[in-house]
Amino acid sequence: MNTLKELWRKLRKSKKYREEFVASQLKRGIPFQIRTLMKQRGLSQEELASRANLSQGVVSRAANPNYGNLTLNTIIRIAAGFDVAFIGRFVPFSELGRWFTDLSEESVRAEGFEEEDAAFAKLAADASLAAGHSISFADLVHRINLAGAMPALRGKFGRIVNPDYEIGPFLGSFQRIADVVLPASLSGAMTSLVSVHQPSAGEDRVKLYIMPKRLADQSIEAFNPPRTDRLKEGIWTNSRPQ
Amino acid sequence: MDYCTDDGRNLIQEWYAAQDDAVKVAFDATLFTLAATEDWEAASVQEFKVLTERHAGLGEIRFDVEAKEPGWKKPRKRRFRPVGIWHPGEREFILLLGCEKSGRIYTPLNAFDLALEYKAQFEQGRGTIREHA
Repeated sequence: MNTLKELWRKLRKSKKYREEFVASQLKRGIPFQIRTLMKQRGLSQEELASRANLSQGVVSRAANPNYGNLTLNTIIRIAAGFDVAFIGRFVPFSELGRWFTDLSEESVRAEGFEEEDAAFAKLAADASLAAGHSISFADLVHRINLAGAMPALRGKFGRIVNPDYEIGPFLGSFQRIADVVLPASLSGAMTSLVSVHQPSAGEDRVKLYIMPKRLADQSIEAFNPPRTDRLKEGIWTNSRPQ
Repeated sequence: MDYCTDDGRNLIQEWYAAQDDAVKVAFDATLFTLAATEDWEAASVQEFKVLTERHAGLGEIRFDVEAKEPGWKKPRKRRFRPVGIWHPGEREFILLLGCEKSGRIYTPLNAFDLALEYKAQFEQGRGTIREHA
């Protein structure tokens, strides 16, 4: 019954079911995460206990979905043992339902702070190399062609690098462009192309700017909000803005 | 997946419908976490146990529910062991029937023998299986 629709049918039936579901999610979802993070890190209960400054017995009970008396203090200690954060947040049922129906060992993966910090440091180093990384327009189009198809992307890119056009409406295409034009070490889920420097008339070089995808996701709207008013009017469906 | 007998009965759904909300939710949440678990047979997975010897080929889902009952100072722990056919290679579990355990007593009393009968029927091509809902 792992569909949101099926779960929603049950949640709708009674408030009692909803209350019990919230309790059960905590009782069973947290032990599942603890077990999964231990497995992903190759940690035994003893090792996690040592890192969390807890006894092995406490960790064992925390990883047991039938224990049910897990305290906030234990959760905080265990988060410290993994060197990750724990968010306790009140959410609507739709969010809880989606969390549960999308639950997998991969979905609960959480890197420890040091691992994350090292990844950011590497990205920052790579990004400093790539900031202002320039590429000729012809080479860019060639790479997009090599990546196959994507005629819509080719069209959009033509407009992105055209100084007569505004860049905003095409932000959604940036990740796909990044995937085909960035050096292999910088492409993929960890990075996002957030800006293409528009060449002035007569210039044939395009500058690419990237940042870690997580940061980009947060800042991209503020960075250069799409001109939705114009999109709605259909102006951008033409080859040139009116 | 749920097993439905020759005469169309879905025993796991019949058992589920007769439970109170706390049991229903605990069962549903246990299935969610199991569905998200890659290796059901790992020692750390406490929601599932592969049965052996006379009951080889079967597996039981394990979950407890704390029931507050009149006259009891503390909530009573009820242990549930719905049983089904375990196909480890295919990562498939076919739920046969619901079962509650109290000490060494199972309800229904012959739950595992019944499960073996249904397993035999299933292997003979009798009955049908249906997506669990």
